[in-house]
Amino acid sequence: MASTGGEEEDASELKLGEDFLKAKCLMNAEVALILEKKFETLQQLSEDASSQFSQVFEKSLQYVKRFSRYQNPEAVKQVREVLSRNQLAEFEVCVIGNLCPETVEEAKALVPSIAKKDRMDDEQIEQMLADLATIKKYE
Amino acid sequence: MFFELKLKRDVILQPHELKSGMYLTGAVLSKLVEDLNLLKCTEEHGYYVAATTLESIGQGRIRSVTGSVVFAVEFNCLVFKPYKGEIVESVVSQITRTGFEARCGPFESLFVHQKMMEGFEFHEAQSPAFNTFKDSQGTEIQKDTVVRVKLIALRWDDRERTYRALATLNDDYMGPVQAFETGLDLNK
Repeated sequence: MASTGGEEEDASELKLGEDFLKAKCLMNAEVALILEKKFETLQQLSEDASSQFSQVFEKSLQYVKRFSRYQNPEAVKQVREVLSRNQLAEFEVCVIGNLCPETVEEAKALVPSIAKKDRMDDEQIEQMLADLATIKKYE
Repeated sequence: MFFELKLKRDVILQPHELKSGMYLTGAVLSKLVEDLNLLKCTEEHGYYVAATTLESIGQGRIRSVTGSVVFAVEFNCLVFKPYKGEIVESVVSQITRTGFEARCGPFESLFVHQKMMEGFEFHEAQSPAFNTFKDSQGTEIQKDTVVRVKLIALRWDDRERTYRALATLNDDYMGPVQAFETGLDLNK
């Protein structure tokens, strides 16, 4: 149903399926900001707010709160800017933003597609990781 | 991975649920949220986490027999969809002789077979909750350990309305995540 023309979905080759090609991909830190805001708004609106949240919502919130590498909304924005500057696909941006590789080798292992077809050389990847580390440091 | 998708859905209100003016929008929205919560997950879109913004609500169409009204709603929705080849950080939920199960947000059926974690050996404890896998360097996988895994096969389970995945640690930079400097609070 979800596959496009019988082609199997595969994240390492950026085959995400038709509906997801145009979709916006979100880092854990971004999801955390959205869900926490939603959680607060709904809690203000009604007293028994907890009953309005699905299990999927609660488990997602729990997960993204724990697995966000950046907490400050300003830092999250900067991370996206740094990553977008490098002409990465949305999915690649989010994998790097979520897993925060520390070395060029690690980045290439986690996102094999960035090193394919000479898209980025080691120097560029190194610079990108250094920029991200700086943001983290001053967050 | 989390995505924000633009979705279209028919929302059906029964006659007694109909309201006028702004209240109608509210009624349609709460029904939409209710529907998505019941739906939980589909093979097409993954897990429905939360509707974020409303794009439009179409004119209601009345069904002749029941008198219920159908509204075509366009909205943005936060979803979580796992992919084959994706690398995620997961939390170990159960350890058995054959391997361990882990969860990643709403997605709770990740399995890593003991053959998919080279170097690790099973250690049985008196209570299954304390079973562990250990390697020769003393790295330990126990319940609640954070493990970075790669999904190698994905299957949609129609009866349970959930995805199931097989994952592996046998790749570079996979395995238990030590408390690293990137600000993860592993004790949360």
